[in-house]
Amino acid sequence: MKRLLLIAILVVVSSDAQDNVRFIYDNGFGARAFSMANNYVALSNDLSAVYWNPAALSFSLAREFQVSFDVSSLNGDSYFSTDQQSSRMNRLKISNAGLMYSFPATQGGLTIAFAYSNPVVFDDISKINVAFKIYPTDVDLDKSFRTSGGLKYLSGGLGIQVAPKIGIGATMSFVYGREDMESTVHWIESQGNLFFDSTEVYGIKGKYTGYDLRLGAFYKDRLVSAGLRFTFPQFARVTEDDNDKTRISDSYNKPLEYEISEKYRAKMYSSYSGAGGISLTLPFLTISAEGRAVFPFSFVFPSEEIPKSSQAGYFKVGGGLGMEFPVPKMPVLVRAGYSIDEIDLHRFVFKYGKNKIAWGDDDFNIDKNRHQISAGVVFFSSSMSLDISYGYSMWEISKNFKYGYNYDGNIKQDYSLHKIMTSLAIRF
Amino acid sequence: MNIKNLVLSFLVLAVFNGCYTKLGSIEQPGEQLKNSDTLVDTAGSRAQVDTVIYKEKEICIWERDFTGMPRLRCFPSYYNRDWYFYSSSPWWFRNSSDWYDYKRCPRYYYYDPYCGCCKYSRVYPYNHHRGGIGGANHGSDVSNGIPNRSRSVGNVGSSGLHQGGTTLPKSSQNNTNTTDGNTSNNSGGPKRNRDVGQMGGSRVIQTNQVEGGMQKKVETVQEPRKPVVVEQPIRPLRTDSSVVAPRTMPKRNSRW
Repeated sequence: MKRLLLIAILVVVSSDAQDNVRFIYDNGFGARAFSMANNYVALSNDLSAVYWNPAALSFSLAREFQVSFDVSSLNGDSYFSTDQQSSRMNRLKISNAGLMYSFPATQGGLTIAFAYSNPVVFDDISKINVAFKIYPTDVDLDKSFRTSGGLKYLSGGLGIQVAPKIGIGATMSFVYGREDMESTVHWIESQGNLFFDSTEVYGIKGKYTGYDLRLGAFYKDRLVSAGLRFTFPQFARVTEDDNDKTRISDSYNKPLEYEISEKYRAKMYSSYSGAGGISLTLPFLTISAEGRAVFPFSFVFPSEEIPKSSQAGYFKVGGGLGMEFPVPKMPVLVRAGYSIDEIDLHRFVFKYGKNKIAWGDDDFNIDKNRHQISAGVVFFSSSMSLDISYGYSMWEISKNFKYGYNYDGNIKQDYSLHKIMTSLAIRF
Repeated sequence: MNIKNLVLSFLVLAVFNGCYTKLGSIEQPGEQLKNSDTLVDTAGSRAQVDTVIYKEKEICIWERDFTGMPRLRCFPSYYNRDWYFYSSSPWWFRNSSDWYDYKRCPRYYYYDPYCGCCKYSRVYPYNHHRGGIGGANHGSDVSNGIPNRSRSVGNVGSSGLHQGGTTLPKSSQNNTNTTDGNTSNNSGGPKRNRDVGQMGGSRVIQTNQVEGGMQKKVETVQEPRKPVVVEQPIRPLRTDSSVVAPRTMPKRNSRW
């Protein structure tokens, strides 16, 4: 009986009633945009327009091949009680690659583009190792969480000028991806000579296939350009295989081990989102400002009643500023940018089988929204450019942690992301 | 939000306004101009004169105007000229013998990457390919279609357009058209010439001591370099009308 009770406690500790929140961040597209903190909807003038604003393709009258790489390091500092743990996840990957072709035109412009990119990242890390007392029991808790993966896009985009200085465009993407998550919990209770020891290793391997559709509008004048992007809700089918290995032992019984594997199918949705921006090109400076918003899920699921306490029922907004400076007498440009974006606890929602979508925030709090500063430099000739960018972003979240009526603590997680991205573009 | 209506509106807008964009086609290098004499400057690199009025903090680049005609736009900027060329000039301008290397070769010369030199063509293709991109199906309105590369030699607006070569035949229709175009340039003055023409103009006067008639100038040109006939220039673009269980879900947040 006691064993069952302990198992029940363990389950309560290690799982959550909702389990709907995931921390996902956008990786963007291209080093040029990244160097301006991704404030690029009104300034897209290369292949990356296929992602940031397909309408801007219509003003990129070029044949271009572009490939980008990035190296990133995601750092997570976890605070719980008196404990602080740091963990890190490093990556090197091809960020994007693709071709852009503009049809020769006597008037206006018509450009198509095909690109591979991985703009959505699932990476997340957390680690806790703490000892505390729940009278009269001493508790040792060692938890680690690590998930990696993301969504990749195979995109086809088209932009066409429909009036002087005005273009529209659309990009359709086949979305696919994977996720690999592993969580380990080691929990030890002791009271004198009595003890309880459990270890659980829980993993999820997920696969995603879906689509993404985005539209854009672009106005371009000599000094001023403006852009709008509207993204329809993404949809993806998800298959997840989970595996749960548990080992329990206590002072009275032999160790007990069991393993459970399940397969799940789900549908993943995002909400509508959009961005609008304006840029100004001066002889010595180009500056771009942008605002972004993610719509509440009530626009996607009008029949669903989303609790007021859920962040899914509200707009999430963000914005930023990007600047570009020419270096006089040198084929070099220097760029910098800053963005702030509200952390979205419901970037995607999941509908498992016939279950209803879980709208809860899982008691998460956003302590600090995502700030990003970035800078970059581009070396260019009349037919080639090499962009090198660096960006630093940070955000903080926390969650209330309760253990029965005896313990009420706060788990705090600070994230920081360092990323270097480089893009090589050839125009021929 | 009705997605279908939004998409439908978007498509309708695209269909009804899409005709603003008019596509063209490219004639590949190798297709030759008829009735044209093409000359090369045997001086090689010496032909790469560059008399572009390159004021500090000012950039001149080829763009298109609203009708698709090439337009040399000059404006103050600290940006490197290559950046504008990289980001603003349509790629098909690069394939055009008459637009690409305006900064390296004089007007009526084009840069031949095979010999690394400027070659001369007395034919100015834009006057003969009706409907060509940037060019000219305009008859007397040729000036609109003539990109002013004349920053190196000769006045864009003057009739000294042939002085890059030697004494030239005067009989071809090409010459007539070209002359018309330049006459028009001279009088009308597309705004894109604002710098180039001034420089070129002064040169013409110095060389020929003439501002007037074409024939007189052609006869009096004394060119220090003697070009020889070698091959046809690359033709520019031509307009084409065709367009184209127990758990019902995983324990996602088990870390907490």
